[in-house]
Amino acid sequence: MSQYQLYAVGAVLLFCIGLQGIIVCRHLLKKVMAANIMGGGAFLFLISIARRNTIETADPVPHAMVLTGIVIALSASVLALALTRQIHKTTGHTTLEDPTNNRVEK
Amino acid sequence: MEEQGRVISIVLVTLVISLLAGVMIRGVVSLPTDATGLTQQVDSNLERSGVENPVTAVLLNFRGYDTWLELGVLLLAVWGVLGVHRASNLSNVEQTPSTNHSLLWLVRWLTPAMVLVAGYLLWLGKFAAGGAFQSGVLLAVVAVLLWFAGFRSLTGISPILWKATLLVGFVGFALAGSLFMLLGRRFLEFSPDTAGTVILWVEAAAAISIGATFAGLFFGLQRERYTDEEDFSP
Amino acid sequence: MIIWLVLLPFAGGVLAFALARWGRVIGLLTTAGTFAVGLIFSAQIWQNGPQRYLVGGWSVPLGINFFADGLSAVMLLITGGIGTIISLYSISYFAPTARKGEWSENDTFWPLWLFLVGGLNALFLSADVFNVYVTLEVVTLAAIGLAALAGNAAALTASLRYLFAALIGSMAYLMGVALLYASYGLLDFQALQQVVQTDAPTVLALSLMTVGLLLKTALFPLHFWLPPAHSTAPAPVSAALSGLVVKGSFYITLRLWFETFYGQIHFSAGQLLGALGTAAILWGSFQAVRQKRLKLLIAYSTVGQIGYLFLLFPIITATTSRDVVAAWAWSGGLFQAISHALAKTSMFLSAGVLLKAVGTDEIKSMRGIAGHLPLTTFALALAGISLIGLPPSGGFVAKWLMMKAIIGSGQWWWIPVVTLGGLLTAGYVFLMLRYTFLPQEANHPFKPVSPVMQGTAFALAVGAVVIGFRAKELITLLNIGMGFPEVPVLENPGL
Repeated sequence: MSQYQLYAVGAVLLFCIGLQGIIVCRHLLKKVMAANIMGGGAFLFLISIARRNTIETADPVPHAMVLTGIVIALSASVLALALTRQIHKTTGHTTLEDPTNNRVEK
Repeated sequence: MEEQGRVISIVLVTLVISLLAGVMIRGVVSLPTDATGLTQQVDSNLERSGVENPVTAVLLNFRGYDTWLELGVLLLAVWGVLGVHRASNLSNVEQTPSTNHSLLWLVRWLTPAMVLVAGYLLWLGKFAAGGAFQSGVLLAVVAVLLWFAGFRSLTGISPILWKATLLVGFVGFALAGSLFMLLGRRFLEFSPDTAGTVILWVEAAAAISIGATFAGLFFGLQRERYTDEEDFSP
Repeated sequence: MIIWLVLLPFAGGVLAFALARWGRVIGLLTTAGTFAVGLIFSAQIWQNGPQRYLVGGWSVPLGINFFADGLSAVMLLITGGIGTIISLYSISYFAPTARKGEWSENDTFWPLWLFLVGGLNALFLSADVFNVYVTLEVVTLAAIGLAALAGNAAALTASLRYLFAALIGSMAYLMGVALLYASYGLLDFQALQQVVQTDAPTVLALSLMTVGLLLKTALFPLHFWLPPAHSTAPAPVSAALSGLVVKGSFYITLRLWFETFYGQIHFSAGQLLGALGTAAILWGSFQAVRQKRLKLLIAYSTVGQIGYLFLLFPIITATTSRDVVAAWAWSGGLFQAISHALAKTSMFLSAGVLLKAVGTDEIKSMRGIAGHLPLTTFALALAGISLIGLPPSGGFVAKWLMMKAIIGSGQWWWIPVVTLGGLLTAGYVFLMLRYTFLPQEANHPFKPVSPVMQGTAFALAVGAVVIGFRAKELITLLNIGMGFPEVPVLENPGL
C-alpha cells in the first residue's frame, strides 16, 4: 500500500466515522464534533490527492481548496455552537428534540 | 422499548455506513497515481501571479474569487451568531478584570511579539506557507488573550470601528478587484506587475477581518457566560 | 454586466450591515437593481446566446469561469423577480427598530437576505464544481441564519437540524469534487464533460455529489429537515427557502446530470430518482392533507412538489440524444420549478398575512377571512390552482409538458403518479380553503394588515398563473445553449 493510499483510506474512514457520529450521537456538542471529523476526512483526502507519488512536488490547488474549506467548516461550526447554546438556554435540552414537543410546552 | 429501537437503528446505520466506507475505499484506491493535477499550469503561470508561493498564487490570484466568497461566508457566520443572540454589536459582553498577575505580565510581553509575528506571517505568505489566514488567526488569539486578561476596552470599541474591521477584508478584496475593471480588465484580474503589491494589501485587509471575525465570534459566543454549576449534560 | 449580478447583492448586504438603519431601503433598492440587471442580461442571452466570463482573467483549467445560458438566465430572473417582491413584503413584515441601538429583526434580516440573493446568483452563474461548493455554503449559511430569526425553541431546533443536514450534504459534495479533480485535474463543468469516463472513482464522485445535493434539495427520504425549518421561519424567509433556496441545489444536479455526465448515466439511476420523486409526491401531499397548521401544510406541499422536479430525470436519462421527448421533459420539469417558485412564495407570504391578522396560522382560524382579507383568499386560491395544475396556470403547462414527455418516452408507469399527485394536491388546497368562506366566530377579532403585504402575495399568485400564457418565450429561453430541439406544440397551451 502506497503512502497515498494509506492517507486516502484514513480520510475515508474519518469521513464515515464523522457521518455516523452526526446521525447517531444525540448530544449536540457531539454532533458538532462529528461534523468536524467528517469535514476533517474530506480535507485529509484533498491533501492526500495533492501528492500521489514521491517524485513530484505537491499540487497547490487542493491545498488552496482545503484552506477555503476549513474556513467554511469553521463558520458553520460556530453557527452550530451558537444555536446549540441558545437551544440549551431556551429549552434546557442539549438534543434535537422533536419540535412538535416544544410547541406543546407553551 | 425505546432503547431497543435505538439500538436497532444504530446497528442499521452502522451497517449502511460500513457499506459506504467499503465502496468509498474501493473508489479512492483505484484513482490514478501518476496524475499531478494542475501543478504544471500553476508553475508556468506563477511568474504572472505576483507571488512566489504557489498556494498563495492559487488562493489570491488564480482562484481568488473563491477566497473572496469565503470571506463573505465568515461575515455570514458573524451575522448569524449575532442574530441568534439578538444583538447588533458586541457591547454588553460581560467581562471581569483579571487579578492573575502572571497572566497580566505574560499578556503585556506577548501581545507586541504576537502582533509582530502576525505581520511576519502575512509577508511570508508571498514566499512560503503563511498568509492572511494564519496571520488573522494569530491576531484573533491576541484579542482573546487580552480579553481573558480583562482588557474591557476590546468589547467596548465603537460599533463603527468594529464593523469597519469586520468588513475591510471582503470589501477591500472586492474594491481591489473592481478597480482593475476600470482599466478594462475583468473582476479580480490583477495586472502581473502590480499583482504582488495588490495581493499583499488584500491579504493585510483580510488578516484584520479574519482576526476581528474570530475574536468577534469568540466574544459573541461568550455573551451569557456559563457558570461551573450549570449543567450542560443531556 | 454579468459580474454585477454577483457584486450588486453582496455590496447591498455589506451596506445593509454597515448602515443598519437604512437596511430596508438598501434591501429593496438592491434586489430591484439586481432584477433589472438580470432582465438586461437575459435579453443579451436571448439575442447572443450563452456567455462565458473569466473571473480573474484566468481561463480553464487554472481559473474560475462564469457560464450563463438560458437556464441560468431563467433562474436569475426568478431569483431577482421573486427577491424584489419578498423585499417589498419584508419592509412591512418586520417592524422598524423601536429605539436607537436596540436590536431588531431588520438588523439581521437584510444583510443575510442580500447575501442569500448574491449567493444564489453566484451559484447560477458558476461553471466550476468547487466554486459551486463555496456558493452553496454562502446560500446555506445565509438561509440558516434567516431560518433561526424567529428565535423560539422550535425555530432554533429546526435551524440546527437543517444545518447538520446541510453540512452532511456539503461534505459529500466536496468529497465528490475531490474525486473528480483527482481523476481529471479539472473543475469546469463543460471541460469535465469532454473527458469523463464511467470508472469506479467517477461513479463514486457523481453518486456522492448527487446524494449531497439531494439532501440540500430535500428529496424524499432526505426531506426530514425541511418541514420544521420552513414552517418555523418568519413568512418572507419561508417563502425564500421554499421558493428559491431548494432550487439552487436542484440546478446543480441538472448541470451535473444533463451537461457534464449526459449520456453516461445508467438507465436505472434515472429510474431511482424518478421513484424517489414519486415517493416524495405521494408522501409530501399525504402529509400536507393531514396538517392542522397552514405553514406546515405549505411546507409539506413543498416536499411533494419537489418530487415533480425529479420526474424529468428518468425520461432524459433514457434518451441518447437531445430529442423532442427530452425537450418536453426538460421544459416541463423547469416550468414546474418556475411555477412552484411563484406559487409557493405567494402561499407563504399569504400565510404571513394570516399570522399578522389573526395571530395564528391554524387552518381553523381561517374562518371568514374571505370577507376580511379577500385579496389573500384569492391569492391562496390562485396559487392553489397553479399547484394543482389547472389550466391556464403555469402548473398546468408544466404537467402537460411532463405528460407529453412521459407518453413520448413510453415510460407509462409515471402517468398515475402525475394524476394521483394532482388529486392529492387538489385535496389539500381544498382543505386549506374550506374555512375561508365559513362564517367567522364572534369573538375572533381581525387585526388590520398592510395592503402591501396582501398585494405582493397576490401579485406572485397572479404570476404563477399568467406565466402559462408566456410559456413559449420561457421555454425558448430555457433551451438556449442546451441544444434541445424546439418544442413545437406550444402556440397557446393556456387556452
